[in-house]
Amino acid sequence: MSEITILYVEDEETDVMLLQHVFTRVGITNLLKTVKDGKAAKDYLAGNPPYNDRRLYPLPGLLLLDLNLPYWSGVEVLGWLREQPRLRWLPVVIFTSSRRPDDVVKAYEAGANGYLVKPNSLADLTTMVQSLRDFWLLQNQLPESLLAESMRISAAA
Amino acid sequence: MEHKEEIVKASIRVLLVEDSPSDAALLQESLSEVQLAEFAFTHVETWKEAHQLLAKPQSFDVLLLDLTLPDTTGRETFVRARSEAPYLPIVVLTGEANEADGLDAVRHGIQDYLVKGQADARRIVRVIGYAIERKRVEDALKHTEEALRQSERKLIEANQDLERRVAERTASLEETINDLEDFSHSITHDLRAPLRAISAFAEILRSECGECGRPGAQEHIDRIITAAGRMDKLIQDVLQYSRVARTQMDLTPVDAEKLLRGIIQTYPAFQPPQVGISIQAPLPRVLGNEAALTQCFSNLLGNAIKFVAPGRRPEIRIWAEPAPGTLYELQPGAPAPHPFPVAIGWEEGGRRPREALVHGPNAAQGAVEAPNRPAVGQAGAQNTRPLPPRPLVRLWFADNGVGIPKEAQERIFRMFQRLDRSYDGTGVGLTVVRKAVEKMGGKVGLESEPGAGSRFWLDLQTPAEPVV
Repeated sequence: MSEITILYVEDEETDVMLLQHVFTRVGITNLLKTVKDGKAAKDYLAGNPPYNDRRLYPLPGLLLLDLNLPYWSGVEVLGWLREQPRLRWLPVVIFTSSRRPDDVVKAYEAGANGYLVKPNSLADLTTMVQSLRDFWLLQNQLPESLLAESMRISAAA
Repeated sequence: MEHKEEIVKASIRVLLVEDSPSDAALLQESLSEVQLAEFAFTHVETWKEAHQLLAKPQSFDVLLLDLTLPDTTGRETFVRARSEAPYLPIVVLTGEANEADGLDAVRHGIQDYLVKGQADARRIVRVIGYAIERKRVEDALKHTEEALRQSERKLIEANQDLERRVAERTASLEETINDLEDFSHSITHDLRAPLRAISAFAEILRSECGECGRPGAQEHIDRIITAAGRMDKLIQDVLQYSRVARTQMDLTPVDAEKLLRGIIQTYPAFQPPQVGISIQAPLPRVLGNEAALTQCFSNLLGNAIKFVAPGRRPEIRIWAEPAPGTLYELQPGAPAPHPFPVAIGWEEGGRRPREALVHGPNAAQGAVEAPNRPAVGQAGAQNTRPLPPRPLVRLWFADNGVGIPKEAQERIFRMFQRLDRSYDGTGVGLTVVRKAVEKMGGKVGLESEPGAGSRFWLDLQTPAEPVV
């Protein structure tokens, strides 16, 4: 399994706890870092303080992004991300409770690589995380530059 | 009656403007002999004096005006008089040579004219009487016209006001719709999030420490999960309803049979061996919204499967017949609806309700009651009796479920109405069906008896397709 770090941007604490729980349950051992709002996500990705130590805050190889966030919305974070030369290939999977067709379009417009709607039962969430693992962590190939960045620093940690 | 006497008997106040003393005297003298009316003369010789007297309104009943005065003459004289005493009846006096001036004056709002030396007393009285009366009628007419103009103005204003209010109302409705949109979005987003947490953590709790708690703890956790699940279903159903209620429905021809078979294929719960569903083909094409119809059909099938006595395999029959429309009401006590033979009801091969209302099973009934109606199957029946533009077709969904008592049959289409708490349901499904069908221009209803199953029907429009 690819040893990339996963960054989860989510303001709802229970959703974070749930995902952590399910990660453990399906055997994902990758480092799961979380931030609570869009601005913190941007700071983390840019390496701004307090996220300037890459040993503690490795650059992720996958971003799970909620849409409805304080300060910067998910779409705004995504738009910013796609303009950053070093980050613009970072795979971003939207993870939200909104099924609104509008939101889906906006997310893809901003450059999302996937769009997942938070399921309502633990069983469904488990299934979803399993397929997330199988696709993004086991099968998907990352561009070398991104992989090197994500791996090099986390290896140094 | 009253004002006639006024003209005839009452004293008529005359302002006589005449620069020739002899003419003035002659006129007054001749009128003094008249028995019919009494005249009170005020005589002046110049327009200037007349002008001063006229400054005080209501002083005179009529103005007798010589056109040739020392200070004004001809047309100018009556134009000034007319404008300065707009409400006073005016009779102009002309010489024999200037009779044309009199006619000219009449054309310009003066009531009448007299040719000096030609008029006897009777004639003068008549002219004065007419002038006063004519002026009164003219003024009344003007008043009416003015009133008419005013009401026209008011009507225009009211119209503009109405348009403004419609615009305002439309704007506020649009706002409400947007609010509703936001509201349902926030329901999905915000209300369901805590619910998700409740059920997920309860599940975690169950798997981790259901056994470690006191006796019954496991059951309590199960109840939390069930309740949260139910709440989530309620929210989803209400959302579904609000979506149906506010969506504008575009109607297109839909193959009801294909749609139904598609739904059955998609959901294993609608397939054997759990369920027996038989469609008595062919079903007609209907005019509807495919998404809304899918919703209706699945809700009806779901209900039919859900509300069955324990241990019994749900059996559902679906068929179509012409809806009892304006031409053919179902007679009370008529036999229960049954599928009619293909060859009669629907054009073979196609799915068109050809002359459906005439050829349906009830047609024979109608034919008996109305002997002049063309016999069943008679060619040209359509020409002799035009069909309604959009005949309705009735789709029946008959089940072998627990049935619904008569007194509850109206109620079950209302929101949150559930008859039996031992069955799992939110009481929204049929409300959605009714709303959707009504928005498609149709109707829903049912026939049922406890223990004998239910037969739900949907009356739907049929597409106006040319009959080949």
